[in-house]
Amino acid sequence: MTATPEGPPKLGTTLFSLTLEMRRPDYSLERMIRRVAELDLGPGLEIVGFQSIRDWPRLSDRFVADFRALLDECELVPTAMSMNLDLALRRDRRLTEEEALSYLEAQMEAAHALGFAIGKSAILSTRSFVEGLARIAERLEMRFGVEVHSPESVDSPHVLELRELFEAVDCPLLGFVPDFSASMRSIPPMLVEAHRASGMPPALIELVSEVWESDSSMPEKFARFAEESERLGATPGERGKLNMVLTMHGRMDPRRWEELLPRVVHVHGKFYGIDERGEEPSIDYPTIVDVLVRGGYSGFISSEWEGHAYTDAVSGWEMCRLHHDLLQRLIVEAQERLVRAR
Amino acid sequence: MGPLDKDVVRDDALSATAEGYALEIHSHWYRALPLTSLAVVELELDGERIDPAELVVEANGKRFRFEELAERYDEWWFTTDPVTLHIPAADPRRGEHHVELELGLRIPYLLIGGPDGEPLLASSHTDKTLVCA
Repeated sequence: MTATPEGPPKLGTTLFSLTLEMRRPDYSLERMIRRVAELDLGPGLEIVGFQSIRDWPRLSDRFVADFRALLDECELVPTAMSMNLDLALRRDRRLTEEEALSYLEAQMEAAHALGFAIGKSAILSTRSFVEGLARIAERLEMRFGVEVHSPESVDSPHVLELRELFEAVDCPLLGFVPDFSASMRSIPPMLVEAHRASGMPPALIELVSEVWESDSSMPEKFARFAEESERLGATPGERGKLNMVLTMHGRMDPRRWEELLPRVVHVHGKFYGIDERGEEPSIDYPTIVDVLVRGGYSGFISSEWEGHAYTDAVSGWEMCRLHHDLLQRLIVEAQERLVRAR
Repeated sequence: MGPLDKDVVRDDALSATAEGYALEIHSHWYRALPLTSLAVVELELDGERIDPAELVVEANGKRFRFEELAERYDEWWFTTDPVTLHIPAADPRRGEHHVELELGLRIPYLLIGGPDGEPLLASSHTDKTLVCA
């Protein structure tokens, strides 16, 4: 007996993890997808449309037919299509709300044609935009999720606003995509290493780590870091890079994802590195997986390795394989704990 | 500092043409961007600044003046494609040249401080000596 009649969370991979592998001159989407299957990194497959598909979201009939046949052959399931809302597409003005909705609608239609069940993007937090999005999701019978990525958290002002809007519009197809960058236990060791290697003064790295670990709000952290880093003689470039450390890695208690679970449509298994014991040193995966299994989440977790932003010394494929091993082990352990607790 | 920055100007990026020099650049952003994103091209060739207004930018087989890019939100720079900067020069020399490039990409979906904010300007700096083919 488990608390999840539909089963535990299912695994998958986002091709975003293979950002560097996709930059090779001989890149082909087909080869990437075949490799996901060969390495058993499915069954879920997530793609960033604007990253992996030329001319996205304009797709030829031939592309759509080939894509669907390939996924069938590889026994992969298209999970989430990661889309973008390019509000500043034009230089002269921002997209209007109507244009912004059309921009996402075209991407939802393309994702639907390829067989994806979920679209994911940032959105405008107005009632009329969310209503328009609900109409698109209902028409295409797709779900739609807004990513909750650091510096956002389950109760940051923007996410609270969206939670209220989703309730008000009362469309069960709309929800969130937790990204574990928001609930980390430390700055990734590989990121610290990358900064050291690039010549960042050790005193500044120590300072940003100390500020990161302090129990204060984001604005307070930025203010303290600005003040103390200036005293240490940081250049604007150094300050900018280390500000990104504070922005991109949140310190929310991972148990707090629980309150978002009823609205979770997909999950980003963000990670930066797997150590020799098979653990993610900067993210408390045992607790996170426990929250998901206990809470009955039966959707997909896409392995999302972001270490490629800092190093090309390791293979994204190998990292995703290690991450799958970690998730598989933790899901089994969490299920066993659940059974024992009864 | 990221791996994609190393690849903005590859070792074989510079060539001599009938009009001057051609410098192939690759994007340091992970996804395709509209040409409106190609906002800052501060280029020095052998210590001499190239006025962006003199550049002809070739993308997807089409040629644009640098200022024209501001209106080309319908044309996309795909992740694996180079964009070629055509630099006018009367007498292009083969052999070693020093290239310094500040490439600034205006990221159309990352608006600082919310939907009314300015787009993030993601910069990448290159300082390299290349052999011109």
